[in-house]
Amino acid sequence: MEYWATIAIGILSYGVLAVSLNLLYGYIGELSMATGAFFGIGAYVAVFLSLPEAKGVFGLKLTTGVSGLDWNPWLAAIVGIVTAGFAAALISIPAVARVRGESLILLTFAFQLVFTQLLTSMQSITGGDQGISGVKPISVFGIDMSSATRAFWLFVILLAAVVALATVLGFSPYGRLLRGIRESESAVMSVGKPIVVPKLLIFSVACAVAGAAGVLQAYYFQSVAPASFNVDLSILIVAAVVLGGAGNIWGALLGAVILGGLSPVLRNFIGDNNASQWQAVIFGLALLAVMALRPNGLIPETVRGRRRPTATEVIEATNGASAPPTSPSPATAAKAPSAGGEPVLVVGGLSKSFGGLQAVSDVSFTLSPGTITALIGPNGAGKTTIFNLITRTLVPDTGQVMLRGKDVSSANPGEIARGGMVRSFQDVRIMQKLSALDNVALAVPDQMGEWAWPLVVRPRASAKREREVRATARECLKLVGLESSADALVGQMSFGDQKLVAIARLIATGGDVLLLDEPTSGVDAGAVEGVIEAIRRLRAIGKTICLVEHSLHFVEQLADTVIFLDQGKVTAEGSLSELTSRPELAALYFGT
Amino acid sequence: MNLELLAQLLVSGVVLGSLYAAMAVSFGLIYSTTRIFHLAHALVFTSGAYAAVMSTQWFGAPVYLAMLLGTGFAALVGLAIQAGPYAIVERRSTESINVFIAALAVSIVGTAGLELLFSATQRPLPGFPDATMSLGSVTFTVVDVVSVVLAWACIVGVAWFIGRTTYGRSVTAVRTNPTMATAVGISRRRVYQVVFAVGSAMAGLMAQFVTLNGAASPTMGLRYVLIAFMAVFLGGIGSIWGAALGGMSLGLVTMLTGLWVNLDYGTAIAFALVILMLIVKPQGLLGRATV
Repeated sequence: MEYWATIAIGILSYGVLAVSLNLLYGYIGELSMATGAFFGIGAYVAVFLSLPEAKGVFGLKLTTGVSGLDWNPWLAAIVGIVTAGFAAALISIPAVARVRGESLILLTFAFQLVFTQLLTSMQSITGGDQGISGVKPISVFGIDMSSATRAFWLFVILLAAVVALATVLGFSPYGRLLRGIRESESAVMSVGKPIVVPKLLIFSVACAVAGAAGVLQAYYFQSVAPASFNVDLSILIVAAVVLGGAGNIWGALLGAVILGGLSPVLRNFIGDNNASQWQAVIFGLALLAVMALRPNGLIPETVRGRRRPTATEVIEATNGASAPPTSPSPATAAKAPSAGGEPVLVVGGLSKSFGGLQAVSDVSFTLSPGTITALIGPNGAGKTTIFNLITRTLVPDTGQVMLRGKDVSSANPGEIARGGMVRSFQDVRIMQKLSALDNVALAVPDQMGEWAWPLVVRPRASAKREREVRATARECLKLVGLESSADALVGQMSFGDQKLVAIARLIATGGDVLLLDEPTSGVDAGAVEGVIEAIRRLRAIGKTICLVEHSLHFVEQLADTVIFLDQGKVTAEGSLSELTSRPELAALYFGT
Repeated sequence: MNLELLAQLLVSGVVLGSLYAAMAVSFGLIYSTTRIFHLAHALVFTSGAYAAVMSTQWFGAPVYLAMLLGTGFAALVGLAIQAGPYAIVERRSTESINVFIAALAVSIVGTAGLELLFSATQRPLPGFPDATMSLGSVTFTVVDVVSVVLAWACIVGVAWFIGRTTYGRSVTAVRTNPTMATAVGISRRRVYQVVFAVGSAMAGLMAQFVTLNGAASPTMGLRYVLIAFMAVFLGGIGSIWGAALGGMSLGLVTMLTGLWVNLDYGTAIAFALVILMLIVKPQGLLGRATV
């Protein structure tokens, strides 16, 4: 029994670490090479704090004995876990703010190596290569850790808690936000959602989980040594998660079972000598085979939202969305749907140059509420740049932008989006691995479940708000005519439908100024009519729309006002028929 | 301040920095051209060291020949890794991170394989002149001098090859715009092979000096490759001189911290500086900000 329990504890502990890494790699797509270090931080901090003062022999202090602070082991455990979380937040600040992907891999790798180095150099605290032993045995919930068969249950409880946490986070609005960030950071920012705090939080949570595993392991072994927390462990955990399937808790657990189960099997067959090397060889080859044959892992990520909508969701959705375009529901109604009133957006003297190229030069225009304005002009006229400038994705050299009478010239893109002006992208930037409904639901503002805390303290209120959010998202999909494919994976939809999902995403923000960047480029003729229909419906419910478009058919069908741009300047403004009647413009653009 | 110590640490810093610089250029050449986070470069490095050590132990090869064989063997290992696992995974999968995972897998298998073949024992490479020279109070070895000279010969050679030759321009083309380069008839596969061969040979050569100063062991490579990668980031991706400068700075910082604290902390401090640098100037010392 004892033998099996020891093996099981190994697997369970790998399982906790794999689920912890999966929170990072699976949900926000960032790979950490320092799982072992955070595992070690938890273990070392708890051990150092709870360890009794070293007793010398005959009054002489032993040179190798480490003197701890003799704290209560529970308090020491909590401090250990919190320290791991804080260390993760610190190390991830550069990663979260600026650097991604490979730089983060590098950063965490460096952290792992520095950690191992410090463990061996700071002898007086860490005990150097030998580590620290003589940790007091403790018991939890009446279960003492004297034998593997008993300690086993504590590891089961930890893993169950961690899996529950990962499931709740993963299937919550917070998880949706994280996956959104993974798929397209700029798109998440463009709908006014935060990036930095969610990332910092998930780093801290994931690494605190690894720290918790470290604490439990240290108390179970009653000792710590640098070799248990080195870079090899970090690499193996990454391998386990990828092998099992990133983004899927069961995948991570399967990876852990393979990793932890392989070496006891090998020990039985080839003896103790080279078992861990053979384990690494087999594991590495399996990983290579999986990468070549099944790149998403043995159990790939599944799409959330495949479940059927609940009855209330359907009712709320039909109640809300059967009415538009005649009487908009509160969720999709524009904030000031009075056509022909004060201009919603006033752009004045906007300029931007890239090096010697004057991309946008002294551009001024206004958008009236409930109207459709089209920016047209030859390629390179500065149309998309204008969108980038007024949403502050690019910082203009000069110029002022007033949104509903408020100066937003120095706001950041998120503030502008939350202020009611949102933009779409020419290249869609849709979250390929999310369902259409999740893509749209992501953009709905004021979701309490996006912050991890309310999920824990107010689960019922969060769940209620989530039902409302999903109903709103359904309503928005209905407005663009996609209610039937709400649960489809966006990556498998046609390009035209993806563009419609992107428009639904804009509606879901509740914004009333929508900037559409080439909504029909790359869309076939049949689908263009669907886009035209959708945009008409938006105007009918009072949205103010500005679009960049090359298709004159499209502009003719929709635009109330057309602004003609050439070489960064506004050359003409008026209705399309006025502009087409002017010969110099016709020569420049219309080609007749 | 202790001037004698300063002079000694400066010289040691230049020796270490030159090694780092050469490693950075070898890694940077591969990374900036192929965008593969080639972690298995560590395995290439290590296999170069083992090839030299084992050719003296098994066949009694003289040390200079052994070093040459080690360098060539490293190039072959690098080419094999590129043509095998990397090429296969790149073909099968769209996400570039998967090639990094493949690199990770190759490293896991390779390191464990070396342990199975040669055990974890440290294996030195004997026979190279080990005379010590001194200049005033500063001392250094023959190995130091030869390694610095060869490191910079390699760096200048690569810079000349990339900057001044027709084939170098093809490499630059693939680096800056692979699709366009293929469209004008440059073979991307061929360019990959060339940069892998050149970079791997350089790593193999540097591994010889690390072995001469210590010994070969299965895990010797990872540390140097991570330092190389940091140097590449520090200097700015895509710039040969930037990588060399990054490597040199890391070597000097690591050694010069010895003026104030125990040298054990040198690497940690150098790493911390790189992390700060990533925050303050993400494009690196000689890199340009991209619009």
